[in-house]
Amino acid sequence: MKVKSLSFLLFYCFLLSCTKEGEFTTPLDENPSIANSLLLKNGIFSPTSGMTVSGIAELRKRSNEHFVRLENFNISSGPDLKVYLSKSDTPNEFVNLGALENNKNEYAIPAGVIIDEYSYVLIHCQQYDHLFAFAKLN
Amino acid sequence: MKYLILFLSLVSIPKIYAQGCSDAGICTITNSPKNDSIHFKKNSIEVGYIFGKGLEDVIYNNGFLAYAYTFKKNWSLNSRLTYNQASGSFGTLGRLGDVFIVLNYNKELHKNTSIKASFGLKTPLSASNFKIKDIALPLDYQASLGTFDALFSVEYIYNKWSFDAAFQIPYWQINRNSYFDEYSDSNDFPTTNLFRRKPDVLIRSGYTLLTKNQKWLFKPNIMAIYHLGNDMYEDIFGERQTIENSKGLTINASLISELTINSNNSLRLNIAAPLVVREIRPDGLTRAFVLALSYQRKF
Repeated sequence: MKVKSLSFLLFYCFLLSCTKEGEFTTPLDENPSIANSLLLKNGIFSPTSGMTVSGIAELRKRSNEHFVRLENFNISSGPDLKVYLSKSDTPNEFVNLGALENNKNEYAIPAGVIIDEYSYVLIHCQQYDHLFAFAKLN
Repeated sequence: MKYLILFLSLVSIPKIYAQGCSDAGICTITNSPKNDSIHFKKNSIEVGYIFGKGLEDVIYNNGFLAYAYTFKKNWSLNSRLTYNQASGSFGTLGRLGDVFIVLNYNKELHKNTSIKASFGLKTPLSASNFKIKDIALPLDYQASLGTFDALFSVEYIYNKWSFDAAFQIPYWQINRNSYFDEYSDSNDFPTTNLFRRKPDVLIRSGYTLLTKNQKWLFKPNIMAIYHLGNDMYEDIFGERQTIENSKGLTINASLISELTINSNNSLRLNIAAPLVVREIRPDGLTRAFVLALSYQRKF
């Protein structure tokens, strides 16, 4: 019986969820200056039903690279929020710019994307396929 | 001596990577080294630790708890709960992995010949989308593949030889992984956003050696796993993409050593390493070396 109890105890120790940052997951202070970038379009975020959001989405250009910048941004928490550059206010035709991160406010747009075709920025929960917020770029 | 050479050759294979056992489930469905009619008990529990060396700098420290119940002469039910912890450049992530339930049927055909059929289900305990500090992690770091799988196997045992064939078929995939190679600081792992996995088929052969006092058992195995199709993911434009060269053959070799302490207690050591690998393994089944130690108690 002792052995059985010990086995369970050992296994219980294993069950403890553990998470530790590594080289690629240590948050960086990614708030580069906007002084050397050009504002192309911007829009104010609106929430979808039941969500709260505040802030502005900006489409900017630095050298030959385009990116989306989130200014004064706050949103309801979600399990798997992504930043989409979208052709409409629903996630049908979009470019996934990656995970929304707490300490990051610039999201690079991959080269080759035809910027003029996209006029919305969406915040979308990919895991549960639920739209949280959208901003029309004007 | 020849088994010592086999053992040494297994542990000294340098820098080759393959689908390792104990990950997807297919490798362990019929991994029973001994026909235990001598020490028969209705119940058994097993607790185990598995060390694995994965792709690049990923190290695995996994555990499992298993319970088996023989409810009729030829019928038994096995269950297994896994815990998987991966450590590497993305950090350390440890979570419960999957639950396995396997129904077994054993039949002795002749004195030294028996057959065993198994049917099992694997249930994932996550959608394979754990993150560290909001940063998506490749499947190599995820505790589960996020697939509900059906497992089928048939094992034929003749004297000291065993031969088995098995299928692992994902019938419902809830994988919501969101790792993009494009947006990652690492270049070592392929994009697996909303990953979809194809089935596997396995063929294995083993030879059982038992010492005269029946205390020690050694069973070298050779195992071929064929991944039946190219896996898929969703790209940054929301389009499904095929991961070319993710289908193909893996061949693993393993050596099981088992010490029977007494009629109720035994220890098992399983060492495994790949000989042939698939070109691309986006599912993270990339063990270069696996060492599993487990303790079993019957009651």
